Amino acid sequence: VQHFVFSFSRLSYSLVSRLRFSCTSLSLIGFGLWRPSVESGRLLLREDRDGVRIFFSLSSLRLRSMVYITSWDEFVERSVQLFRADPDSTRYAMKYRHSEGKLVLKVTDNIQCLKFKTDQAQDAKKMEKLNNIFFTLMARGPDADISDVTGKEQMETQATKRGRGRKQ
Amino acid sequence: MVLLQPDPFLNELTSMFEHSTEKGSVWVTLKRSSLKSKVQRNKMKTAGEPLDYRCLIRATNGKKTISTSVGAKDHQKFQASYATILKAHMTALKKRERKDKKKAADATTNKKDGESSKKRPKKV
Repeated sequence: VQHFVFSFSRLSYSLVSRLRFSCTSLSLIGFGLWRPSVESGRLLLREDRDGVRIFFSLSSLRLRSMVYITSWDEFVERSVQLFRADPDSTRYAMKYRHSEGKLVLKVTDNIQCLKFKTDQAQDAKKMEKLNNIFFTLMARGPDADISDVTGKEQMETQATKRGRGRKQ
Repeated sequence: MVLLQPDPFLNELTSMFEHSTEKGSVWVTLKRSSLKSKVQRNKMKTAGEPLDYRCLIRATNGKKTISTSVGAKDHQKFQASYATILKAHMTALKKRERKDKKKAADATTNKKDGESSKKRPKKV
């Protein structure tokens, strides 16, 4: 179950309030994705220089992930997706506490937030690869090719190889 | 907020890690930025000039903040040094239990080993 964020760009301000419920509710019901309920979701209006973007966040469908993601690969994939969707406002933060031996990673675009926390040394190694991915994406641009960062692709093949070894 | 060149930034980051071992945290944030104000960006957009984006890196220990920016050309070198610093300082994290490498027969013995190795003081 995913967190759905719909965005409609460049609507004039006067249209916005009128369209608020009709547009989003109808389209969502039409897709069969949403059965309206009072606490279904919230409408966020976010302005950027091209106009107003409406984000309809279906918080009811988001109940599964309370921000912290348990799977590393899912965290990586969703963060990269989040960055590519909005490279100018997405940031990647890391907090390390030596006294507690804890590491927390956060990727957010100020609308959605993905976090990953750990106390394992092996995750620090995985984080290094994610750092490389983000350095490349941020310095070169969201369309940069990151498969040669020895990050994502090689990590995936290594993980499967390890799995096979274990079973043998 | 102190803006530094990449190398002094890395030195300061190292000292931040060293000073926050007993208590305190170190935050490092990465963000893409063109380092220009919105007005300047709009002007450049209308003039047709391509915007030059850089990767902004900020670090803080709660009290002091330092920052630096790397571009597309020097980010490889920076990320290598950055990775070295992190590897050297993030030593408080737990090591992985070696249970997946032993046979199933030794599983119980392994679990006991794993638990006791956590209680043992970590080797530097």
